[in-house]
Amino acid sequence: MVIKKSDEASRANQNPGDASFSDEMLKLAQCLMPVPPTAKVKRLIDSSAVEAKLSEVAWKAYDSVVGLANQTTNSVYGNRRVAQGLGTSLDLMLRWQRFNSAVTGALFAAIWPAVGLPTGSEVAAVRADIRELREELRAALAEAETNEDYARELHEAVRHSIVNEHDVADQVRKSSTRQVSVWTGWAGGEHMEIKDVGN
Amino acid sequence: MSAISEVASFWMEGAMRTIDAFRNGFGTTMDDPEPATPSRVIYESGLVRLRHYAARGDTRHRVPLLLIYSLIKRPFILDLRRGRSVIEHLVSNGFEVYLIDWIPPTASDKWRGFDAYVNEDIANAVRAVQIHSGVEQISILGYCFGALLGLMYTALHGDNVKNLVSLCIPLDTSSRDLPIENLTAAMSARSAEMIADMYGNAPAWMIFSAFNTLQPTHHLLDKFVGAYRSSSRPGFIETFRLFERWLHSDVPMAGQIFVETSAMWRDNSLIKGEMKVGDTFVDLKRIAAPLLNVIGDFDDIVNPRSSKPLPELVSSADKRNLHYPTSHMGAAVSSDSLKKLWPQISGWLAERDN
Repeated sequence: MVIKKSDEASRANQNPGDASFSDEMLKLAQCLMPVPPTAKVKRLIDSSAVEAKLSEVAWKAYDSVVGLANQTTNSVYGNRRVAQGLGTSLDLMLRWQRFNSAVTGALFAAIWPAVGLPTGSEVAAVRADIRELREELRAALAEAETNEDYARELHEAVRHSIVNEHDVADQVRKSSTRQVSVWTGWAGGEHMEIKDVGN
Repeated sequence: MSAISEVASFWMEGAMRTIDAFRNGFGTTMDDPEPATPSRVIYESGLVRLRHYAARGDTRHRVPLLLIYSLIKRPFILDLRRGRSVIEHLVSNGFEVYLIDWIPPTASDKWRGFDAYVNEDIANAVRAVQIHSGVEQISILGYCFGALLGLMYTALHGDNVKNLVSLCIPLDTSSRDLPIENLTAAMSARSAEMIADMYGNAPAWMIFSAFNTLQPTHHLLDKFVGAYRSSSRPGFIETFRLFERWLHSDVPMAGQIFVETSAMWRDNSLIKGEMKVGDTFVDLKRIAAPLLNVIGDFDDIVNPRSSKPLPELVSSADKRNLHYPTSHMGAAVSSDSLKKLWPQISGWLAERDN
């Protein structure tokens, strides 16, 4: 390192003790590290073989760390006590949430009818009705299938014909009544002509 | 771009996807990506949308194949992109393929249990396939939870099934080696009922969070680092993005079937013959159709030991386990599985086409 004489003089004038100390430190550093370390490291890793080796070592280290983390997670979740604890926490959390919903529901129950909205129990009742209707429909379909055996006839016809997919798809979409009769054998509506199905 | 900034960009993309999914309701509302194989919807009723993929090539097989996918995610993983599609493989090998594209349940569907899914939806879909193809006995291929549904259908309506292929089926829950098995067993009947009671259906965000919590390192960091490390492979990033989209495609599970599934796995009732669907006990011994049970040896979602006992439980004369060194999703998307596993499955079906 080159130090200008004028700088040296001015620094000596300001604080002669400090200047000589810094010079000594500089000399010591130059003895111990004649080349700055960053430059040396840079020269070392400039070699592509070394870079590849470093990269390989780094990825191996990464894989080990990830593998270890996965193993730890698996052993934690695989522990029956931990699982039991999580199960209990879930149960408590759900109960707390339900309690909150009940309290909130009770507070707002009086407000909804006032603004003309249905309450949760009314919606639930409608859903229960729909479900009952579905069950009734299903029972009726099963009964009709047993009585008329329409599905069997249809299958028999299909076995002896080549199905034109366009026709079938169109037929299926045409009406829900017809669709029910095709898939379930219930002859509730108009019957599907066999000649429309095949060629 | 440096490794760190590239991984960070993948991570940020993933975080945005997760936030979007939580905000928009996961697979319930999102559009599926462009399919690799063209299809036509030939039937729709209940929660079934039945898609037909026409066979290609010179060799055509007589027996149509019905694919039943799991209820908790969208099925586009089976037709991810050209060259990475199970459906594309099957149709190009001459199979008429039908897929049950489950319609996500709404609040009014919370009553749907195994009875509705098996005895109504799948039964209707099978009948639609019979009529559309003109073939009375069809082959069924079920994947994961879809394999369970296919198995139950075959046990209850075996006359309609020519061949049965189950892929990664979660059957025997007596082994508790995997974290997911341990945690599923720890969920009490009361918790399952409370979830159904409070939310109606088991919410998609809950299913997504449960699966992601099981592998935090993978989902928070490793998959993005993996994407960076494989980014130079042709087509990898496109597949990664589609796969990520599928990972966020969870749909709710109808309340009743969620409660029933939870009880079935907790009590291991299906293989004990104590499981009821509707009014009938599911007796696996009634299955006489040829059975191919495919097991992923590195499956981290369904324990290979859980799938393995299936052939012993059915009375088919023609039955076997097919072990393959792949993971749960690798069975559907890895290029290795598409090159080596799926030709074995399609070959097995082709041999039993008469």
